[in-house]
Amino acid sequence: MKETPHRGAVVSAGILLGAGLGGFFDGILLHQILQWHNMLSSVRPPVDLLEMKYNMFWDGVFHAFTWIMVCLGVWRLWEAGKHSNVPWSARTFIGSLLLGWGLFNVIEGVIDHQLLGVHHVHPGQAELAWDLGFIAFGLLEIVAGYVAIRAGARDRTPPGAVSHVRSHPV
Amino acid sequence: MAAASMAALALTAPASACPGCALGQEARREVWRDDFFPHLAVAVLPFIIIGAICARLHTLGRP
Repeated sequence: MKETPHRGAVVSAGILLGAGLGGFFDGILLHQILQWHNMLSSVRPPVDLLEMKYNMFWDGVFHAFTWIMVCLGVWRLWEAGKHSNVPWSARTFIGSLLLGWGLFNVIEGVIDHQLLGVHHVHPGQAELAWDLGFIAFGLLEIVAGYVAIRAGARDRTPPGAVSHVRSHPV
Repeated sequence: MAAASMAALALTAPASACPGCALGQEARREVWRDDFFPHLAVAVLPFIIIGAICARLHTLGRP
């Protein structure tokens, strides 16, 4: 009897990884390299060293959670690879990564930036535009991820299978 | 200008990376004193929501 492909195993793993890696991208680029904001920079603006250390602690907590998401994603992906009914689809996996990153941007953007206001993407002039742009980027990723996952719905390569490669004469 | 930058770095570097200094201890006290659990909830909430979405989507295609 034909096994029903269990795509959800790859999708869930990809979402966890995408959310974690998206969180790292946010933390590394926006918090640390560009220093546009910190986790609580609208609540306790980092105007002196004490406030910077305060915000650094909470940035560390944020990164701890993104690290946990990546660990969970690796674990779920490894588990998915053990099952023959899980199609090993690049489109599904990449789509799931995008979906995870997009979900992170939208959910974190709405909750932290808009509802709670604990920080904003780029505080100051055009603050709302930056915040909405961040959410819009997340929505774009969600749509792209969904399209890729749908495109990968018919992929059937099982884990560990060798893809068919044209052999070239020596 | 370069000398001034180096001097500023020299002044702040030990102050910012100091496990036992007074400023570090004050920052840690502030963290625990100032709405620790609400801030922790804010940090973890997006990931809990994403986890719930994941759990739902994991059933996709499962017999």
